[in-house]
Amino acid sequence: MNTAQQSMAEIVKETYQTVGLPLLDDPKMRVRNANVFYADKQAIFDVNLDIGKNQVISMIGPSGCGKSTFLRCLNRMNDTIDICRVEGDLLLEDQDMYDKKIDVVELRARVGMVFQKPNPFPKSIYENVAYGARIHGLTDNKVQLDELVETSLIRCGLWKEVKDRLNEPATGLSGGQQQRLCIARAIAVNPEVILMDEPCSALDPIATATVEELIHELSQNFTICIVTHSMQQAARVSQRTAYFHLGKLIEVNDTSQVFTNPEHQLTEAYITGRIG
Amino acid sequence: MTNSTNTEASTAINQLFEDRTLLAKKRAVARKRRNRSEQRFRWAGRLSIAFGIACVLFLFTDIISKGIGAFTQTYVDVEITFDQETLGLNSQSTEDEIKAASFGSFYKKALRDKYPEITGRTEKRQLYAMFTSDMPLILRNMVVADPSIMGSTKIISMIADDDFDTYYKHSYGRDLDEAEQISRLSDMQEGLVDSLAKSGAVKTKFNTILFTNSDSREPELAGIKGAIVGSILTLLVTLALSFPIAVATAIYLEEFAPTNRITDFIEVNINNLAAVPSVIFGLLGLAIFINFFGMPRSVPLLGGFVLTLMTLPTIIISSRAAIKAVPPSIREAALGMGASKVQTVIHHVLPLAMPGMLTGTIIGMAQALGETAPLLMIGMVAFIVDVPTGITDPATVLPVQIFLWSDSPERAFVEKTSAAIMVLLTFLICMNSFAVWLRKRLERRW
Repeated sequence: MNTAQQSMAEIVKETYQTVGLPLLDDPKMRVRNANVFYADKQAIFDVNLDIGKNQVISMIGPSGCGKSTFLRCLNRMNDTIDICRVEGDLLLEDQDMYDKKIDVVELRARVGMVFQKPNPFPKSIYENVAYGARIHGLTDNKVQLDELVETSLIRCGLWKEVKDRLNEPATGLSGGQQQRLCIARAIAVNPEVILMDEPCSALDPIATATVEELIHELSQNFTICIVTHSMQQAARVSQRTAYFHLGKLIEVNDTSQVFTNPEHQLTEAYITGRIG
Repeated sequence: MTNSTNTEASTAINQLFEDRTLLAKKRAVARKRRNRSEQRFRWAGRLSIAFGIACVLFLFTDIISKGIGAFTQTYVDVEITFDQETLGLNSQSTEDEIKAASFGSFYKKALRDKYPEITGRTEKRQLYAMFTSDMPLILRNMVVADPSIMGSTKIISMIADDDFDTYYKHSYGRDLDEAEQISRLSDMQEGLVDSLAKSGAVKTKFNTILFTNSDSREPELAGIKGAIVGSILTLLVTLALSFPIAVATAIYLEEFAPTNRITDFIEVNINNLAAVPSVIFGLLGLAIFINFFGMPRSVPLLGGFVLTLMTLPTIIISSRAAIKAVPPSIREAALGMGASKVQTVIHHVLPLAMPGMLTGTIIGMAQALGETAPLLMIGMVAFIVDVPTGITDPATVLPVQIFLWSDSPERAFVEKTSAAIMVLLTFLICMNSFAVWLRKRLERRW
């Protein structure tokens, strides 16, 4: 057992206090005392966190620390896992997301998601972007739908590359293009929040740079939560950074502060590469 | 382990690591052993395949060599005069009287005229017996269809009786031993065949009767049309019932059902059903559909019900496998977009799983097409001469027809049995090739 692990065992007790500034005034999402269980095993412990409007918040931490689990709680994607149970208050603009009266389809239209591996539908590029608008009945006719597809693709910087082959299968695009298509598909229904689960981990550095630039642009209109393994990426794209460790939210602060002057010794151990 | 062996062992190991040529030698021995075992493994595979191919080839050559004869039929051209007197009528006879007349007289008279030297009663009977016993009906139908032929003289291709047909196709004019002779004809009849053949009146033509007639007691008149239509109707019922039920079951079990004891129990039972001998399904059909619900027996509707029970597990299992093979990332993508569970399944999972489902269905159908045992239990083994016109008409199916014919003693039915098997195999090969083609065609990469 090295020193970092030893200290971790002492520091991360059953009750703990998140250091830094987890709470904000007038946030987009509010999470209070969130606990997540997979059957009997607890994956998330008492997380309190606010997610600010039109901000990018990145979640970092070693593998298995629960950051993806936490992210998936924010649009109830965990509902699809039978054994997963979420407790606590998770609010989207003062509305309880886990209220029985909430329609989960409606919720996911407001909180979109981009996954780790680009997962376009095995349909045409056009159909991929148009799908959300179709199922939610957003457009009245073909002209509007065409316009929506074009706008979404333009906003993702993909329009020039694909405008001549909208009817070709999306699976024929390169990995980076596919991921940008998935982002275009997500923003086509104009969600309020976009959750991104390691969106660049399957991409090469150039495609990663393009996607990061895109995230930066999108943050003007959307609230974005991004889970990432790359601390450089977190530093480049986000305003706030949350550090998770073994299911606990250790520290939340402005990104610049987390990476230059971490308050908690675990955060420091992680960003300096001593644990991870 | 004693100390001495320890020292020996360590010396050996030390030697091994000091002497690289020794290492190489040891490796060479191991390599040879490995190569030999790999060769053995490869040959075992090749031999297995060769054995399989040999079996299939043997089966096919046997069936084809036995059945090819059934695709030709012997005809004899005989000049027949259609006149009123032969029928014992005169020019004043009404149409009804003509229809009721004995049309067999036409060909019997023609034969008597052709062979005036045959006078005995037995000999004459033998002469007439060389042609199918349906000749009067065939001649009558000709006259009814076209009354103007009354009074004319025409050359009619008469269908040879099965004994004549078999003798002519397999033994006549060949230098065969006594034992190899296939003949149920008398010496006089063989002489007649010889004289007819020499006069050029005997011909063999493609046997259309096989495909246009249904079952018959007379081999030369027996065909598989009724059985094919019966098979098609039965399969249509099976398909219409089993595909939707199986797909709905598979989707529900894979996508919606919670994992608990009940679904586990259902899953075990579906797998068990796939292994139940098909005759049991026949008994079930007999007990439930006929005895309890009082459905008519021998009908394609009932056959379809029973075969549905039999094919359901096959289709459910392959459909579930196809659904399972759809990557979860596609489901996540749809759910993440705000698609409901049902939308996710219908828009994304189902289209991707469809090729696998269809393949399973076609294989299930091919299985149902070749099934005999359960249909015997529900009375589809009856002797049915009419072609069924609907799913509630009594019918038989191809494999049952094969079963029936294989039981018949006539040599000509042996031939017909093999011919029917060839037709059935053709259907099966077509269906399976279609399944392979469909899978290749619809298979998508993601």
